[in-house]
Amino acid sequence: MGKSRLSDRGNKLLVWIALVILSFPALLPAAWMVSTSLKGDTQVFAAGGKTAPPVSLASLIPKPIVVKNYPDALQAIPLRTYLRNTAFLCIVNITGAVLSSSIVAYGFARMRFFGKEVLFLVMIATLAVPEQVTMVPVFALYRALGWYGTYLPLTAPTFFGVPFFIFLLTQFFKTLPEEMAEASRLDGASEWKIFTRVMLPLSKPALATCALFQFMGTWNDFQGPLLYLNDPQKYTLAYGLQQFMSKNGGQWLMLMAAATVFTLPVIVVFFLAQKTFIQGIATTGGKS
Amino acid sequence: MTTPAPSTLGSRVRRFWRQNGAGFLFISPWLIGFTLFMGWPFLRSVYLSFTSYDIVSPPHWIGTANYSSLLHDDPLFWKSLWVTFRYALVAVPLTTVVGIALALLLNVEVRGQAIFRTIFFLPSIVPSVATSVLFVWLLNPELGLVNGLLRAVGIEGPAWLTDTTWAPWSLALMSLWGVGGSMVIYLAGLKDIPTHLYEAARLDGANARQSLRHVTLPMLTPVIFFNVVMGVIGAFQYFTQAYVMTKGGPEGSTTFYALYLFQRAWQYLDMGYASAMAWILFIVVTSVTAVLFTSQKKWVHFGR
Amino acid sequence: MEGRRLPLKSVFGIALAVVALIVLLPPPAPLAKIPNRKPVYFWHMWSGEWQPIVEGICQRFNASQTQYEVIPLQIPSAGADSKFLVSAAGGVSPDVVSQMHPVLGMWSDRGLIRPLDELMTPAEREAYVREAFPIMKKHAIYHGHIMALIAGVDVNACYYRLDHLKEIGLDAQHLPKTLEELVEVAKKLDRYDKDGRLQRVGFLPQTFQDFVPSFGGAFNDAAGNPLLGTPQQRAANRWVVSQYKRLGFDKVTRFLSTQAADVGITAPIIAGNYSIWLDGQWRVKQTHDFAPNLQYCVAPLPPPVGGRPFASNTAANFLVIPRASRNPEGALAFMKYWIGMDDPEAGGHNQEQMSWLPYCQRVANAHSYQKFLRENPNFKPFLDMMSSPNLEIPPTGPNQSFIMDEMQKVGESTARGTKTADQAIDDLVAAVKVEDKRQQRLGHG
Repeated sequence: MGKSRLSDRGNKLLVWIALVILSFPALLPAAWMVSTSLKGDTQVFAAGGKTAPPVSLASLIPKPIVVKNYPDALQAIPLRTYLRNTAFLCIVNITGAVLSSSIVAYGFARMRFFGKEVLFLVMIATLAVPEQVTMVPVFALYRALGWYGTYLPLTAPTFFGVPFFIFLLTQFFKTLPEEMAEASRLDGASEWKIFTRVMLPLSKPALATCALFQFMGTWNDFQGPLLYLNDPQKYTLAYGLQQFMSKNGGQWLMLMAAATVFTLPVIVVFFLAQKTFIQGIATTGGKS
Repeated sequence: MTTPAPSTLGSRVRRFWRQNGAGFLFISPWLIGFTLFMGWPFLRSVYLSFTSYDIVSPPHWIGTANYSSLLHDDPLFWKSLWVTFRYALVAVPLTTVVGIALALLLNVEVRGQAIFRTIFFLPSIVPSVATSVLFVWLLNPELGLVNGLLRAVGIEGPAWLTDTTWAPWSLALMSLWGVGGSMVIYLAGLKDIPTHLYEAARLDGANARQSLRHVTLPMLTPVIFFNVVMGVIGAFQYFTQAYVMTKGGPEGSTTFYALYLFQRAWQYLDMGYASAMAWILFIVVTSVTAVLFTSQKKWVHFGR
Repeated sequence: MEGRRLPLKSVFGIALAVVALIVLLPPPAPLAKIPNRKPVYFWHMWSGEWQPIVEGICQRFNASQTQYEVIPLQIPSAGADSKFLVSAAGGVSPDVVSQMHPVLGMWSDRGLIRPLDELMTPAEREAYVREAFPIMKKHAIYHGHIMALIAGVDVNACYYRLDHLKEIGLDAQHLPKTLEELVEVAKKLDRYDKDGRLQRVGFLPQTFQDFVPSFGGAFNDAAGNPLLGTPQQRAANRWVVSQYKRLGFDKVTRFLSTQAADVGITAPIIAGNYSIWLDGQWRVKQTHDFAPNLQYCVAPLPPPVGGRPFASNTAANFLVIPRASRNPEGALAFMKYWIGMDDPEAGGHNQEQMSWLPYCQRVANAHSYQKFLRENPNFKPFLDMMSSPNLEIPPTGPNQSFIMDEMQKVGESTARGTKTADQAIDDLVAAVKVEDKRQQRLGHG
């Protein structure tokens, strides 16, 4: 017992070292973004007859640190409006997507009905249609429904199950032990009760994953607001970020500052969400 | 058995509903959504693929002309399909292996686990503009960090993104920085493996490697299957980085299928042609997916 | 039994949530701010420092009359085309659209935009044709119809670094007179480092398109159809390739990869890694903003012996009215105000704010514009070029986007030496011919 503990500790150290080494390439994009956002023009762009300096890790450290890009960027767009709109859409869409997708996934994973396999394949197949070619008819459809200029095209569809999440949750529900559901069924519980009382609590990691992805999807969505909104008061952060990409440059550093601010909330959300993965199913596994 | 036909029909319907109704009710949100929001656009787009349609004026029927033109006299169609296929063949296995490996490492309870998880997810959060520009710099043939490191060990690196041979592989390599999403799914999958299975394995005298092979990986296969299917679908629709970083160049070496489709649809205003391209891609992707689904019975375990 | 009943709850719950969403979400609010005016929806791509200038033009127009209200909407350039096209197909249309990519011929042929002569009075039409600089008409008139009003054209001329010229004993009064002389001067300005790598390039041509007008060529025939593979285009491309060859393909490629992306302050002429640089008039403003003390001068590209002076390839920033516009009259009024057709003083102000070239001499004579010229003497050579007949427009016609992409490939292959100059042009001509045939067979025009 003591021996295996020791090798356990040795293994952990190896894992830790591997993680530290791999962290460098993983951190590079974020580090570069933050460092650029803290630089002045002259640090980023070589001028005055000199060629640009080679890219090195040392050049990631801004000298001196310039904070000005942040207030500049934040004042260039109506940040508070965009943030409020984005948060609203995120909350609505996470609720809709997780709720509807988990119900549909339960049907596919645990129920028996005619044509299930085929319908499941049809659902996966819908993901293989490039949206470039459905964009025009979809737009015409939403407009016919009177949804143009509102948030409905960006929210309502998530209440009808998101194929990506349905597929993911189906895979998860299938792995969960059948015995508990069977036991509840013998106690006379309905399928709905089994779903809500047995399956959902066991699937927290998967549900959290779906919520995280939906959050990121809505947070980053540029196409939706671009096509369906026509009022600057309704725009979102992802849309605002695109507005920094001026054709003739010049706003480069502001773009990086805005991108940093844009990224921060997602990091926080992820940091909080990943705790859910840790807690997860551990309580049912006999560790308790 | 001997009851007359009319009453059998009614009772059959009732019996059918009793057996299938609950299932249909569970999946009804998707069924309704599919019919309402996707059915018509899909049918419409299939129709448009048989028409000459420039988005602006009404489409007119030209039969299979788009398809035959694509298959018979559009070298760029075949080239872009090949470029995309090659990319999928490399990027999907690469991201699968790395995604699983990272998730396994991050599943070990070490100091700073939460921080490491966040770090490895970071590249998926950083807006793609920032990542794209960074890689243009890193892969710069003269000044870039990558060639700088190669030079330090005596190798003169290629021109990466501006070299017709290396540009597509540079993009495939970059796909590794997008592995965070599938990594999170693997992590959730790992946490779903009941711990009593590990204890049973340990009681059977299994060491770490054995329990990885006989418990962890088999139990992870449903999630691996999910990520591979999604990876294939995603790889065949690969677009953003190629659009932002190389615009299909140099000399068409990174003209991915979705990029060519985009050009046809929105830049050359030939939505009929683009629709035909989309449905050919659909057939290719669903065929590959169908093969994966049939193979599922052989390697995907649902632990019950 | 119960299992059948209870999922109903879930479905019912979702249905309820959707209904609640539809009811509770705010309906689209009216965008107009001024009561009792007919709205003119204007979609444009001018972000960053340009956005306030464009919005200023809209505000001044709104204040200048009492009938219309222009409501601008800035659209990130990443999605501008798809938003416009999807909306047009779906029956939602702005009244004015600004665009800077060469798509006017394609849009006209596909019936996306409205000929302006339908809306202009005969007197207006006559005045426009009489007054507008030749290059403005080349851009605006497609197959006999005025399809757009040109808010500005980008014209190229040579930017010379005076400090570099001084090294070899030249100054602003002694600039090369022919392209051949330019090459001789450029050779003296090239600088190599100790390893023989290029450190500074005297003059590096970018695309062959830039030189076609100087070699006496164009990209369209007299009827306004694209014309490719002409002797002048071949000569221009051969000359461009000869310059790369002279410096060495490999050396140029290496040199180019050490150049920072062009984002204002790193503009080639500001960074100083080139001594002579062919660029648009908008660099004057950028240079003013990013390097106010830079010593430079501007002159038209010297022609090759037997070629044409005051020649340049150009690009247009144009304003068009979509077919589906609900207020084409208001749209035209706004466009006319922008370029200064009725009020040259206002037009001059708009143009100097954008630091663009006006559409006719009358607007150039406006006080505000003259003041701008006095403050930016380097802008004068561009204005002088405006009356030249030797300015040309890019290929037009229904396949112009395809042609532009293929032209880009000519540059990519010749700059690396993977194709010879003539091979690249042959391939361009062949590719466009195949595409034309395909388009015909597929029922486009």
